[in-house]
Amino acid sequence: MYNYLRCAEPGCEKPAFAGGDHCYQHARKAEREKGLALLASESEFRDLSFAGAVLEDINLSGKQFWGCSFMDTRLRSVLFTSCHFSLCFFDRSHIESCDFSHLQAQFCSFGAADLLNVSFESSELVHINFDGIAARECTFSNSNLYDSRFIRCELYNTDMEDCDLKRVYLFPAKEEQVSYKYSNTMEAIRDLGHLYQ
Amino acid sequence: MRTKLYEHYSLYDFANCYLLGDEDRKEALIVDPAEFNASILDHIEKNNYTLKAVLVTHNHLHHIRGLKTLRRIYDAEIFAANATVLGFACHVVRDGETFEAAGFQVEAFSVPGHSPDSMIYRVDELLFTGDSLHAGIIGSTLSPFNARALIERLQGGVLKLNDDCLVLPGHGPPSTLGVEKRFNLGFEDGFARKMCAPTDFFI
Repeated sequence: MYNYLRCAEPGCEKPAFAGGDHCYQHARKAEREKGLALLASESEFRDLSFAGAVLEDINLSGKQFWGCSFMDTRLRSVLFTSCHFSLCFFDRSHIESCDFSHLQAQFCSFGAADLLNVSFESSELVHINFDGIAARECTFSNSNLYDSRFIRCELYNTDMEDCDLKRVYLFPAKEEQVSYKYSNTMEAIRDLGHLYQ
Repeated sequence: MRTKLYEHYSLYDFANCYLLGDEDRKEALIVDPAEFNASILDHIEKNNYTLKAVLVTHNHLHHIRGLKTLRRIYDAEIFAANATVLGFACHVVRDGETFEAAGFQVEAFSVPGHSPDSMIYRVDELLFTGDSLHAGIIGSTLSPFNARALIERLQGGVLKLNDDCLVLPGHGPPSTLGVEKRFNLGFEDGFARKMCAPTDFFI
C-alpha cells in the first residue's frame, strides 16, 4: 500500500497508472491500454494505482484488490461483482451504473464519491467509509455494513433493506426515499449526543 | 522503498493496529499494538520482517495492550509522547520532530485533546491519527476546551497536508485528508460547544 510509483512527468506528483511510468492523465494511449489490459487479464492486484482512470464497460468480476487506489476515477458500467477489496480507496470518484454486489470489502473508503445507480447488494461491507457520498438510485440491501460510516452524505432513492447496521454511523445530511426496512437501525449510531454527551 | 501496509482489527475495544513493512530492508514498525496475537505474528514472520519500532499514538490501554507480548518477542524501540508506556522506556517524541523508525522517516504532530499525550504520525502520505481524527468525526474529549484545542491543533497541523494523504485512525474505517477537510463533523462551526461531557465510547 501507498508505495505507488510516481508519474515521470516533471512536476507531477500523482501516482503512476497501473505500475507504468506516468499517471493516467499523462500516460500515452499505449500506456493506458497496457494498464487496462493488465486490469482485464490478472485476477489479483496489490499496491497498484488506477487513480484518475476512466473505466467503462469492463467486467472485473471476481478479482481481488489489496491496497489499490481508484481515487478520482470515473467508472461507468463496470462489473465488480463478487470482488474482494481490502485497503482500497475510491474517494472522489464518479461511479455510475456499476455492480459491486456480492462484494467482500473491508477497510476501504468511498469518501465523497458520486454514486448513481450502483448496487452493493448482498455484500460484506465491513469498516467502509461512505462519508460525503452522494448516492442516487443505489442499493445496499442484504448487506453487512458493520462499523461503516455514512456521515454528511446525501442519499436519494436508496435502499438499505435487511442490512446489518450495527455500529454504523448514519448521519446523512440529506435523505429522501431511503428504505431501512428490516434493518437493525436501533443498533446504528444516529445521534451525535451518543458520542459526545 | 517498497512497502506493505497491513491493518489488524482488534476485537479488544474494536481498535485498529497497523503494521508497516519495508520490503527491501525487511524491517517493520507497528502502530498502536492493541493486541499482539498469532495473526500479527504470522504476518511479521511470513514476510521475514524484523519488528524494529512501535509508534504509540496515545497511552490508552486498548491501543497498547499487546505491547508486553510484543516486547517478549521483539526488541522494538517504542516511540511515544510519554517517557514510559506500560513500564517500558520510550523514545519521547515532540511536536514537529522528524525521526527514523525501522528505516521510515516519521513526522510527529502533537494533538492534545482526546488525551494530553495524543500524537499523529506521518510516514510519507500515511497519517496514523490514533483517536484524534477518525473518518467523519474527531476524537472524544473531556470538555469543550479540549475539543477546541484538538480542532485548532488539527487545523493548524495535519489538515494543511496534501488532500491525498490517507487517514488511518485508531477506530473505524480509513479516509483521506481531503474528505475529512470537507465532511468531518468536528470541523463544522460550533461543534466544540456541542461537546459537553465525556463519553466512554472511545476511551
